[in-house]
Amino acid sequence: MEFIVCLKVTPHPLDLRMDLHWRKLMREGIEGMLGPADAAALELALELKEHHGGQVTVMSLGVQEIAGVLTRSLGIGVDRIYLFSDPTLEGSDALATARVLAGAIGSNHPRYDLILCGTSSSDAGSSQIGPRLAAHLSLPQFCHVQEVSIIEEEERKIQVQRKIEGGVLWEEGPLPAVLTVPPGLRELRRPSLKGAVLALRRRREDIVLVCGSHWTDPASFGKTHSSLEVLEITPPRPRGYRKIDHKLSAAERFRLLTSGGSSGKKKKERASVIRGKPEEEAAKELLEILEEQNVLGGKSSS
Amino acid sequence: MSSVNELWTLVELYPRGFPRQTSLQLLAKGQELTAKRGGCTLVGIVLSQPGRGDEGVRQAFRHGARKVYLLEHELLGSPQSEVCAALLEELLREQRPQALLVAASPFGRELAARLAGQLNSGLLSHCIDLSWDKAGKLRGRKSILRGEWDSVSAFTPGALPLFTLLPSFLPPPAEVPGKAEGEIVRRVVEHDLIRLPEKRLLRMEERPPGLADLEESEVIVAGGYGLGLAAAFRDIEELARALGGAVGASKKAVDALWIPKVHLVGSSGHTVMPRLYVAIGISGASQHLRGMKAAGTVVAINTDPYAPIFQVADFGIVGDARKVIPVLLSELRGSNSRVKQLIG
Repeated sequence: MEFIVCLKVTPHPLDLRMDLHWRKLMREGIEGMLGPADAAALELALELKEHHGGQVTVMSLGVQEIAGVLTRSLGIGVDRIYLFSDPTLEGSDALATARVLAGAIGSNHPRYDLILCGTSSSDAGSSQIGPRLAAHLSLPQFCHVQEVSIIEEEERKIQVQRKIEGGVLWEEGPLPAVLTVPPGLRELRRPSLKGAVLALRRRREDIVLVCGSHWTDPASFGKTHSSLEVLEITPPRPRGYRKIDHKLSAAERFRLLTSGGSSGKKKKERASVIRGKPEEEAAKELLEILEEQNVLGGKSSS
Repeated sequence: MSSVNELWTLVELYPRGFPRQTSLQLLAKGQELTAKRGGCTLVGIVLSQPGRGDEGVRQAFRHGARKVYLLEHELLGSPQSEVCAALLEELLREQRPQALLVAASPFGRELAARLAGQLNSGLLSHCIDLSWDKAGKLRGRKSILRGEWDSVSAFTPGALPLFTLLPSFLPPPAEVPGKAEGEIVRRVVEHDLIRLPEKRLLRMEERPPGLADLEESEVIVAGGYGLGLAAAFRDIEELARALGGAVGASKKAVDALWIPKVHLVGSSGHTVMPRLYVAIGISGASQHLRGMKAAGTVVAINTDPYAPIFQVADFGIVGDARKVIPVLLSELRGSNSRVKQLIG
């Protein structure tokens, strides 16, 4: 069995920085991490490999800094890694990314049985890559799987249980196929010390860095070919914030500031937090506000 | 390439043929948008098994569609995105509407992405709002980086705009007064005409009534370590049930084994965008905030007035959750009609 896992290494939540001028996420110099869905997809692939044998290949697009994160996966059972990293790929959206991956899978991997992706990445999270790959490669797709079993009779089949709106369903289909794995389905294993050392030793041969255009036409990728254009990036709508109460003691004001309280320069104050009232009264007041705001019964579109 | 001045919305049907709530909401959004742009016709796309789409068509008209495409195919009895995408691809290539809107339900997401792949075009997913620009093109606003920023994007000229919209941010269904009828374009697609992967449905099970699913629900009640004891999660569940929502949890509550990990909201769990998020006994560590910051309305209940959760809350109570919840529950259950309204 040949398993391909398409992963996206995203900046650690604390490293998320926006380049407001170019309206894109800053990725340079950030090693990053795997999102929970991608980690679950990788773990599922490794489990399937243990049961059915074969190889797990990881494919990823990104800056070269992310190789460190991918290296670690060599220590837990991944056999080969392709990292597509080229300036022409910068700014690739889901359309371009899926085309690069589909092109690579088509040209480098004449034989594959199962392609696994996370349902969505932890940065852009547009949940598109899995179904797009399935479309490009004309494969069946099984999204949001809960359980997977591969049946190896004269004809190999896959049976999945997957979540749909309001229920679950069981489906069967031929291989190859595309699966998308939701976050939390599996916890990614950690490399043993031996595995980690081995990974470092293997990284030279088993991480294939693909740059340039020798494998496909780069003109159709990256920002130049994206059919979407980001027009503006704005802060989200403001939430209710609290003003510093000058009646508070100095110690309390300090505590408010260090806990991330507002600067006190903002003059507008919304009566958003009910305090100093008995719980019963507060609860009733809250419900009244919520009903007034139409958050409970009718739907507010704001 | 010529394009028609139509705005298409996908109408998903329940197995028994009635449109899904999210699809009716999507039609309401479509009504808003077409009203702002002269000459633009709202079109509902109904996909169904042969002979089972009539109720869907009727409801689409009642909710504002002026024209309905009824696509019929044997395999549409179960949610198969491969079939739907194949049917829609053909129709979209032929007609080229102004845009196709799909609700970002679990099925809508995978269908729209597959369709975009087949059409080799862009897809703006998980939008929270759409509007027309001066040139008469649609642009979509979405929340990115787990609620840190909002971005507004548009399609480049010549592209076929596809959008998915988050149900939590759609208006309620709106029926139009008066006679509800319009043009019906019916297409029966023969089973063999489209090439499809051989997928077979083994069985389908509806989730037992009761608690909603974390990712689908428009209301989430989440509990944290501040609740003090595992048993308090039963109250959280009760409250979620009363509001017709799902149960969420913070990392610390999950680590304490008070509740299974599937309920975890935050950077190592689910990222959610419900209409209403009630955080009870959750202090609001940045990891948790990242999972829920983009929610519509955030309500926080916490004893600590300095808890960071209040920074992202719209409303809050500084007080003991164990005293607040019973009052909320009894108030919500207070009158039957009110409860019905809340759940409905």
